[in-house]
Amino acid sequence: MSATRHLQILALLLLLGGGAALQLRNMLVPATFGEIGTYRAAALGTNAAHPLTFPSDARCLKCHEDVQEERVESLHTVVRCVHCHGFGAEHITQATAVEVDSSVTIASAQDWDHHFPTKVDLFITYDRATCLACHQATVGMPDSFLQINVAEHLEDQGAEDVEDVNVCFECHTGHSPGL
Amino acid sequence: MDAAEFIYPNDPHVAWSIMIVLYPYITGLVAGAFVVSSLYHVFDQQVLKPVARLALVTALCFCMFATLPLLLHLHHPERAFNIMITPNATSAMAGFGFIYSFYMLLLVIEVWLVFRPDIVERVNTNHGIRRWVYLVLSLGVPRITEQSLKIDRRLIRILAVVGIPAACVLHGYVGFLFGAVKANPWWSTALMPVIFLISAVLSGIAVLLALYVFICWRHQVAPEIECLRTLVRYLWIALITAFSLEALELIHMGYEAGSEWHILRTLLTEKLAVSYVLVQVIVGSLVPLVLLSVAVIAKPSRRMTVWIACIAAVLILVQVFAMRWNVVIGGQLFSKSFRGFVEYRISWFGREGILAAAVVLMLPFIALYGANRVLPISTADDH
Ligand code: HEC
Ligand code: HEC
Ligand code: HEC
Ligand code: HEC
Repeated sequence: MSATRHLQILALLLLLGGGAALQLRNMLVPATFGEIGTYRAAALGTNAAHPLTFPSDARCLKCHEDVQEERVESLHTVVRCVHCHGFGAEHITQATAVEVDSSVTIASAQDWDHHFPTKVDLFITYDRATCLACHQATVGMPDSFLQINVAEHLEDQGAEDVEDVNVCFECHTGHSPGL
Repeated sequence: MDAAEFIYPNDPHVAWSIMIVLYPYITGLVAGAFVVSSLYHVFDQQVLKPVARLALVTALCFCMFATLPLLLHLHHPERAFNIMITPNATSAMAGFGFIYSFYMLLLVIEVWLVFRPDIVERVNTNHGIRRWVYLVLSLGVPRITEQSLKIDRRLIRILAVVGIPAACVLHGYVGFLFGAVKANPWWSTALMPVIFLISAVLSGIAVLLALYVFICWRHQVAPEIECLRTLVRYLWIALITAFSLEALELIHMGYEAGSEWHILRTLLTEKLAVSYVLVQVIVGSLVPLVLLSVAVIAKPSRRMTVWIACIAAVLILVQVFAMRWNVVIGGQLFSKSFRGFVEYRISWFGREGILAAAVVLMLPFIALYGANRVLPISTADDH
C-alpha cells in the first residue's frame, strides 16, 4: 500500500485540520447564539438593560394624561413629545423616583438651546423654529402636508408682532394648534 | 432629462472603494487561470502543456490574495470570520466564505500533486535545511513509484474536473452579489454572473499569455508558437463572447429605456466617459478585437504573433479592470433618486488608497516569483 502512503498522510492532515477547525469554531461561537435566530439570544437582554435615552410617547402619557386629552382631537397627536420637549430621560427617572421618595425633586423644564440635536433633557419653548422645522414650505414636500410661507401666513392672519420669535403662539398652541 | 443634482442623504458616500474593484478583478484572474489549466488537465489540450503548470500556480497565487482587498476594506477585519463561524443561510457573502475555502483547499492539493515528483526529486538532491523544507513539503514521503504516479494523475484529473464548477461558482457568485442588488439598475441584471464569469476567463487567459511571454523573454527562450496561437484563439473567443454579452446588456437597457435609462446614459457618456467609452470599449475591447482577429485569421509571422498577443493581453487586462471599476464605482456614482450624481475621490495613501491597491495587485506576482524559486513553475526550464 505504499503507493498511496502520501495520500493517507494527506487525508490524516485534512481530518486533523478539519477537526481543529470545527473545534475552533465551537469555541468561537458565542453562548446563546442561534437560540432564537442568527444572533446571540442574550443580546436582547443586554440591549434592554441599557439606560433609557429615548422614551416613547406612551411612557410620557402615563403621567401626563391631561396632555393627551388636549391632543387627542388635534392632528398633532402624531407629533412626538421629543420635538418640543427633548428626550426627557432624566425627567422620567426623577419623576419615577418621586413616587417612592418624596425628597427627590423634579427639575423644572429649561430653555431650549436652539440646537435640534440638543443635550437639554427637558425644555419648554415657544420658539417658532421648532414649528418651522416641520411646517415651513419646502420643495419636494408632498402637497398634502400642511406647509406655510411664514411671511405670507403671518400677514394673512394679521399677526401683531411679525418679528417676535414666539409669534406662532399668538394664535396656536403646541398640543392642539388647530383653530 | 437633465440631472437635477438631487441625491438622497445616504447616497453621497461611495462606500465600496477601489478595494472592492480589486476583489472581483483578482477572483476573476483566479477563475480564468484555472480554466486554462483545466483545458490541459481535463480536456487534454496538449498544446497548452507549456502553460498548464503556470496556470495552476497563478490561480493559487492570486487566490491567496483574493480576500485581502476585502479585509482592507473592512474596518474590523477580524469580524469577517463571523460569516463562517456563525453563518446565515440566506447570506450570499457567507456562501462565498465556504466556496472560497473549499476552492483554496482544492487548489493547494492539486498543485501539491502536480509538483510532487519535483518535490521528491529535490528532497533527494538537496542537503541540510533545504532538504528538510522539501521533505516537509513531501509530507515525509519522498518516494514515487509508477503506481503512485498513476494514482496521482487520476486524482489531479478529478480535482481539475471538480475545480471547474468550483471556479465558476466562485466567480459567478461575485457577479451574483452585484446582480442581486435590486435597488441598483446598473447592477441588478441576471446577466451579471455570466458577464463576470466570461470576463474572468478573458482576464485569466490574458494574464497567462502575458506571463508566459514575459517568462520566456526572461529565460531568453522562444515561446512555443503553437501554444501561443492556441491561447490567442481562446483569448479571441472569450473577448468576442464577453464583449457581445456586455453590449447585449447595454443595448437591452437602452432599447427598453426604463425609468433608469436617462441616468445610466448620462453615467456612461459623461461621468464614465474615460473609463467606460474610451478605456473599456474602445482601447480595451475594440482595439484588441481587431488585433486578435488579425492574429487568428491572417496567421502572421511568429514575431508578429508574439507582439500582437502581448499588446492585446495587456490591453485586455486593463479593460477588465476598467470593467470592474465601471461596475463597482460606476454603480455608486448615481443617486438612487436617479436625479443626481455623486463623486468618488480616491486618495494615494490609506488602507483604501491607490498605493495600497497597487501593493495588493503586486503581491500575487511576488508570490509567483517566490514559488518559482522553490519549484519549477515556468516550464521554460524543463525544456
Ligand atoms: C408642537 C410642540 C409640542 C409637542 C409635540 C408637545 N408639546 Fe408639550 N408643550 C408645548 C408647549 C409650547 C408647552 C407650553 C404650553 C403653554 O405654556 O401653554 C407645552 C407644555 C407641556 C407641559 C406642561 C404642562 C402644560 O400642559 O402646560 C407638559 C407636561 C407637556 N407639554 C407634555 C407633553 C407631552 C407628554 C407631549 C407628548 C405626548 C407633548 N407635551 C408634546 C409644546 C409641545
Ligand atoms: C413618572 C411620571 C412622569 C413621566 C413618565 C413623565 N413625566 Fe413629565 N412630569 C411629571 C411630574 C410629576 C411633573 C411635575 C408636574 C408639575 O409640576 O405639575 C412633570 C412635568 C413635566 C413638564 C413641565 C415641566 C415644567 O418645568 O413645567 C413637562 C414639559 C413634562 N413633564 C414633559 C414630560 C415628557 C416629554 C415626558 C416623556 C419623555 C414626561 N414628562 C414623562 C411626571 C412625569
Ligand atoms: C415634528 C414635526 C412638527 C412640529 C415640530 C410641529 N408640527 Fe404642526 N403638524 C405636524 C403634522 C405632522 C401635522 C398634521 C398634518 C396632517 O395630518 O396633515 C401638523 C398639524 C399642524 C396644524 C394643523 C392642526 C389642525 O388640527 O388643523 C397646525 C396649525 C400646526 N401643526 C401648527 C404647528 C405649530 C404652531 C407648531 C410649533 C409649536 C408645530 N405645528 C410644530 C408636524 C409638526
Ligand atoms: C395671527 C394668528 C396666527 C399666527 C401668528 C400664526 N398663525 Fe398659523 N394659522 C392661523 C389660522 C387662523 C390658521 C387657520 C387658517 C386656515 O385654516 O386657513 C392657521 C393655520 C396654520 C397652519 C395650517 C395651514 C393650513 O394650510 O391649514 C399651520 C401649519 C400654521 N398655521 C403654522 C403657523 C406657524 C408655524 C406660525 C408661526 C410662524 C403661525 N402659524 C402663526 C393663525 C395664525
